Amino acid sequence: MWAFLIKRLAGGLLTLFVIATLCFAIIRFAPGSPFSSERKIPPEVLANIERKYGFDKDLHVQYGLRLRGYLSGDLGYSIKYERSVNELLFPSLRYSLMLGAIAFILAVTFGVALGIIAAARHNRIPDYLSMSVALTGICVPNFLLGPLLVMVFSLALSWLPVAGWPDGWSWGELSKIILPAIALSMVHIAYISRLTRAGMLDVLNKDFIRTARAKGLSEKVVFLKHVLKNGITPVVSYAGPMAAYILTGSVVVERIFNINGMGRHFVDSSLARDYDVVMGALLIYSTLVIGFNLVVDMAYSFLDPRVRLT
Amino acid sequence: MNAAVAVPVDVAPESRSPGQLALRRFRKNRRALLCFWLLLSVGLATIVVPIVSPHTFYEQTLKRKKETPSATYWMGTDLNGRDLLVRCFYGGRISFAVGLVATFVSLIIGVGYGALSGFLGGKTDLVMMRFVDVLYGLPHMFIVIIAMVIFGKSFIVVFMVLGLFGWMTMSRIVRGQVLSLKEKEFVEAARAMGAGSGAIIWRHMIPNILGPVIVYATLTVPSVMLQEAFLSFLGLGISEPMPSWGGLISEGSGALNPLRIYWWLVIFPGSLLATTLFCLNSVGDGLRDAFDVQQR
Amino acid sequence: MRTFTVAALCLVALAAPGCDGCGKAKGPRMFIINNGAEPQTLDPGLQKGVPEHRINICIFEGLTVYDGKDLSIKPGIAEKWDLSEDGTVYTFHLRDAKWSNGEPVTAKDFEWSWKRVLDPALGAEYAAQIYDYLKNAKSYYGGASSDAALRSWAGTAEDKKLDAAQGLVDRAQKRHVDGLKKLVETEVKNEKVAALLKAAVDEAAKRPDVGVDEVGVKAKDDKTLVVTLEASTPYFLDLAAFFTYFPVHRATVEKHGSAWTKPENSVCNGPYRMKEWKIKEYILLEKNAAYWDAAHVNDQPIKLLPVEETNTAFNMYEKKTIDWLTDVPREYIDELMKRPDYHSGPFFTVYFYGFNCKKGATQDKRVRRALSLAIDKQEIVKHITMAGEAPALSIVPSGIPGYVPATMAAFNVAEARKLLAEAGFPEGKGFPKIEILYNTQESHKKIASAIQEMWRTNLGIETDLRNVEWKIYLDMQSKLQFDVIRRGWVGDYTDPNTFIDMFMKDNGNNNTGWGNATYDKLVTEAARERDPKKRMGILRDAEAILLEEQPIVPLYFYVTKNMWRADVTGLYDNVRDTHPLQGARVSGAAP
Repeated sequence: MWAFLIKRLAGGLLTLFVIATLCFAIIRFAPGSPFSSERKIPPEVLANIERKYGFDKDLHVQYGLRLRGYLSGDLGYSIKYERSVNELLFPSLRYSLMLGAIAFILAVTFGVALGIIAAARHNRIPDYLSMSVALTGICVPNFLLGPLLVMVFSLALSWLPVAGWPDGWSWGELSKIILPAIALSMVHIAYISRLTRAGMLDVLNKDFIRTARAKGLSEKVVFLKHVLKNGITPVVSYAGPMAAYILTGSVVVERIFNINGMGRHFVDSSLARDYDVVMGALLIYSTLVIGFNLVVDMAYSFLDPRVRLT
Repeated sequence: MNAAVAVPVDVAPESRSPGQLALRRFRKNRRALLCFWLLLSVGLATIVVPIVSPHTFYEQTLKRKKETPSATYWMGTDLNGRDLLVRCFYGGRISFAVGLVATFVSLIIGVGYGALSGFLGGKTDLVMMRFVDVLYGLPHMFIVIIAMVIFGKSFIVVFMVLGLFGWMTMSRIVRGQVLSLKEKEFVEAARAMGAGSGAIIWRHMIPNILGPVIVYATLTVPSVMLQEAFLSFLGLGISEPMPSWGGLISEGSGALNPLRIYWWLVIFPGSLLATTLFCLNSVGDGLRDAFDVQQR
Repeated sequence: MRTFTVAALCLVALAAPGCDGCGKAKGPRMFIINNGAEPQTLDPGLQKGVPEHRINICIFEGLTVYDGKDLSIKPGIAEKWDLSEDGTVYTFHLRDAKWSNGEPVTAKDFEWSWKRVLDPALGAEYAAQIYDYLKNAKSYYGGASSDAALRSWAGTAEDKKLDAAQGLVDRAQKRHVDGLKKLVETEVKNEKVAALLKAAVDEAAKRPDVGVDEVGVKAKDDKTLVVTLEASTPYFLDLAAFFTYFPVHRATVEKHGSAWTKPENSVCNGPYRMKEWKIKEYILLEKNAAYWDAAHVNDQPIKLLPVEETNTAFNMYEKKTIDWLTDVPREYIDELMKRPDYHSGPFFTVYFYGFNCKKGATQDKRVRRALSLAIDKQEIVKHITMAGEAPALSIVPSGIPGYVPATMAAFNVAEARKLLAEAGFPEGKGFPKIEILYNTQESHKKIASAIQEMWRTNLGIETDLRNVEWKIYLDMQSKLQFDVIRRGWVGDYTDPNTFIDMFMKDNGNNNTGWGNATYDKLVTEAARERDPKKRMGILRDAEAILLEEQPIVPLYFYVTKNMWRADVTGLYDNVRDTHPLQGARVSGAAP
């Protein structure tokens, strides 16, 4: 187990290093500069500005300094906002994580539930219905679903707020989270329900299920204890990539619903060439995904004792 | 006296290639078939409608902007007074083009890489697959966003960037197939007959892996189209000032307000996108069932 | 399953919305403004944009201030001032004003703050706003920059050394000669750089040292500030109200460094002070009891929100969670204009297209004039921008007292065709395909598309449209990588010069490749002219040349677009769209 962890952590650090280097190379060798503005800056002023932020140094020196900074937990300095990147990103990370966590929970809960219903009532109406809903969920992307939900539930029916993040415990405030969470989680509810259904159907045919039934266990127990536990492994495999997709999806959902998450920071700072913020956001995302994948793989081994961690 | 009952003994059963078998199974799948024809019609419409329509996708009749669907403008007009119908179908061209070309790129790279890796086996295979694993770890959409922002929006960048990230799963599948096929008897037989590696790959393996490759390719197209639409929604798509489904949805979504709901600006391009994705997925599913491939 | 639910509940609890006093009564009614973006920095020396400006005019005050109604210059921290005979020396007499921590605002504060902007280490983008006007400031800045360049030479990247060396040639002073001589030896491998450094030694020897004490601002005593200008500047009092000239509290800045603008550290001298600053959420201002005119500042706290999407902001305005909207969604502006809570007026900003006068068909003046005459500006303002903008027949907007702008010819297709034919392209035949470059934004796209159509229909020529992202656009603009480019310009001070001097041949903001000796001569003459009437006349002549040669074609003048309801008082439309808030308030209870 420890060998596994160490190997994975080492691999993760390697990946982060590759990402940081790749990102640095792309953004530094590309056109555009963080210091350009509508008013032409006189060359001596520009030279001073560059010196202030360390841009007068050789590129590889800047690269080295940046990496050294990462080792001590310092993500850099935002040129646009005159603050440390840590100060800028971590508050917004909170929002993205919260939204992502809620979407994740929704996806797993409803996805598995739908999948169970479909598998239990296999080839009957609830099955067809759930699967049609699922297929639609896969085909309506979150940037389309979001505006549609807003059109129907906020503008036409006025049932739910249009945008924002809850700022209080009243229904009016808490309900702000409903539409973004649905928009972000729908496609995953769809995928998970399909995976659950397929996984469970797979297991339903196996011998040990017939044994369990023969033993006299109720259908419910058979289903929930044996079939689910074994059929759910594809869902666990999907959980890893799903976390990554949810983070990606949050970029548009945050824009549509005006939520101050890290997704908006990422796009905005790319446009402003705020290099440290871009790299910082990218590395935070990557760390989250790598960490999550690690957790998922470990969970996998708990669920299926046949799987050994290598 | 001897009722000579003719029993046909020497007629061998008609042999069918796996491809033909799959085709038959596919044809029996009603939903997949329906979707296939629907897909074809949408595709055809993206070519035909802009040619046939009296309106162009760029012509602005500023006095008639934001109009609901009517006889002159079947899907209404957009914020600039341009005909939405033509823009929707013209935009479809971009989506289909990007979907097909990027998938083709990742197909070439993926099949080549995976076949090579599986065939060579051993250490080389291990290293090649490790490389893919590292690439998997990259948050690819974010890198795409950075690349689009920074390098500007050209078709080349988009094709490369989307194609470069789609080939990995393809290579894994192909490699898996090649690995399992390598051990089969017909390969040994071919070797015994003196066939070289190249010939083995080309004449024996590739026809057998074609099945899963076709299935996966069909499922990659909607994924790429979705990514292109995602980028267009963020304003990073190639198409400005040409329309694309993501861009149209973004325009429509940006115009939503409590005073007047311009529903047609979102619903029409959105339905086209959703329908196309639905059909592609159904056809892909159908193909997968037809080839009897298990998705892992 | 149970552990899962517990984990989920914990996550939701963590998500607990940042509750600052929720559930309890929300306190006094606040005046809620949408500021349009998160301010980048609230340090007046580093400030760049409008969202920052809106906040900083509330918490800081300079020597002079603008009146919110008519934009006249009024005394701020300076109670009165004298001007010398030749117009180059201002003596400001400061009133008894205090910082928010009770300390008095002195002339020394101003002297230190202005010199701080001139410190290369601060990296102030607007340093030129001070050194272009104050005596010796430019040479001081050049010398100090050379000090910094020499100090950090060892760490300078190889590819930047050439530029740095050129900078030293242009600005190094006597005291740098020794340092430069040493560098020539160390850089002997790099031929080009060494050659420049050698030249720098010669140039530097000729330039006298200018120390910080020679800069034209001196605090004679606590209440008297003597400002010596390089030349008489009619609009200097206007400039003194500009954020670059705001005072900052020395002890605070020195103690806290770049964190001095945070609410817990900030010390300011304006009508308000900063109470809270939650990044990307809101900024809360409350009345500054130590302000010299606190009696006339109302008690209502001000909350500024950084909502960028105009649509979302508008929806919040409709729900009454925003009282003053500083920008409206373009998509349905035609419907909003009919409402009584929509306030609009001319804005001191011009939208124009620039031509590349150095290459391509646009080098020919006749081609430029033809393209310009073929644009129907009425059509654009009526159907695309639709907010009541005025088509522009001059580069300087109207509204400057004492100045009547020169005018150019209006929309004339026949004349345009004639000119194009004269230039060698009858009916547009043979005209090369040109490209209109603009930065990605819906409104620019619409205007460019419309003009593309106009040129196609009226002149028979084909144009391409190209949009690039903002930073790339700026890059291409400065490198003249375009045929036609979309531009805009906001006036910095209420004087025509702010629109005119940028088109001088060597001005960094020219970006057209156009230069005209007579034009440059007129502009320099105007800067020296003491008689205001004569001066306006000279500037008008210069503008006339610009409009005749047409390196640029002005399209329209912006309008201000604000929305506030009847329960808001104390806000007025003015051409600079600047709104001091001490008199503004929203009445009634919170919604």
